[in-house]
Amino acid sequence: MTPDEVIDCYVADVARRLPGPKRNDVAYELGALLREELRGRAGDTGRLPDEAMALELLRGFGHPTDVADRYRPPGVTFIKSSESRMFALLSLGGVALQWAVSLPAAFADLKPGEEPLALLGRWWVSYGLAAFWWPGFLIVIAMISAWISQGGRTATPWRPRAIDRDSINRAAWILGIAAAGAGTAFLVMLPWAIDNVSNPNLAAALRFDPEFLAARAPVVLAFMLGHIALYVMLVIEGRWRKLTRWLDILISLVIGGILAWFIAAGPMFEAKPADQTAKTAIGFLILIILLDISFKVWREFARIRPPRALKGH
Amino acid sequence: MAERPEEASGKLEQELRRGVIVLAALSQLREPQYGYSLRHALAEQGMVVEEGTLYPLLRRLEAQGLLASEWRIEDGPPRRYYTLSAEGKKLYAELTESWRNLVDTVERLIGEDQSKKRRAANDPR
Repeated sequence: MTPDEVIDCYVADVARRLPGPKRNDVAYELGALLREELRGRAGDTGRLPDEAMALELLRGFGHPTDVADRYRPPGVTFIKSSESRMFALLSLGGVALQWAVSLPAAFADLKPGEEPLALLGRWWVSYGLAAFWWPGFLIVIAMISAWISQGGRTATPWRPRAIDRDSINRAAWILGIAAAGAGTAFLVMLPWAIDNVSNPNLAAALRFDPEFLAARAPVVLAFMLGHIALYVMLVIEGRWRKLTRWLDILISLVIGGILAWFIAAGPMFEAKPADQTAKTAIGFLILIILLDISFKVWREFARIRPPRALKGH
Repeated sequence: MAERPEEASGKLEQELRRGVIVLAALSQLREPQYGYSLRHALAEQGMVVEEGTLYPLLRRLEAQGLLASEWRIEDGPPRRYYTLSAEGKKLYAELTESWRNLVDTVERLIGEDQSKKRRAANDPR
């Protein structure tokens, strides 16, 4: 290629990335300037311009994509760098969560003699790919939000907010403890209530598995009472402490583990439909508990504390 | 991965220069110049600016209304000449004032630091 052809090719690559109205004018000027630069370089080195010299000039000038960006005014940033990590976590986490739910469900339907790979292929073209609606949805929300912010419609000045996360609203917590106590009492009375239902069909449909009642149910009940005791202590003290915060996380973790054990260890109800419904509900409850624990643990580590070098001072 | 000191030094110097490129370019555009001639005018006075930085900058300044431009055919191929617009002249005066204040302040700061070092060197303790 002649040096002029190399430059023309480069300018064409830049030009197709430029906005329409000024494209031709900018590209023509860029071509003229690059040719002049090349002649200048050739004059400085005392030799005729060639393809290698043109390539060296253009590579120094930058990749056509970068050069086109430099010609454009700064665009709208949809996702700010301070939010990109959270955006990536939300996007990938959302896709992973959908896969985590849909993939085991797809394999649960694997029929005898069916190829697992064929099932995997069917899952991929249905639920697997469909999970990508979530990042797309987030991008559209980010674009709308950036567009609104750019219009200055939500540009409200920063205001301080209460950051004392350890203080509690005693009245609300007392109400919460009362509700938790009532819920626990309801669970304790439930087997007795079912046994005394006048409709024998309903009683049979909702009767607990005797082994579950004797061996497993009391374990979770003990930890639920432990959690309530912790909250009573919290109301008395009036605020969270490091110990109570970590005890709360630990008890939640144990309860989540026991609930998982309920699902895995055998039937909870004598009737299969009731058992399956209860286990699905417990599955969702475990998910909520895990999200709650993750948030609380993240908040523990996100707390601003003195740097290690200052400890002991 | 942590940045090596020499890499950091190069980048910081680049950032320092990037901050003054606009003022340097505006200073030379009181008279009409085209991209290549402007780059050479700056380089001759010790301000070397990459062509990939300067040429797009001229277009951006023009889009902001700070430069006026026109195609001219003189002794050579057609060239687009840029010069300060009325708005550009006003901004140039403002930036020059800010630059002088900044230089005074930084000079004072650097001067203070150097006198402290001199005092420390002369202190026998």
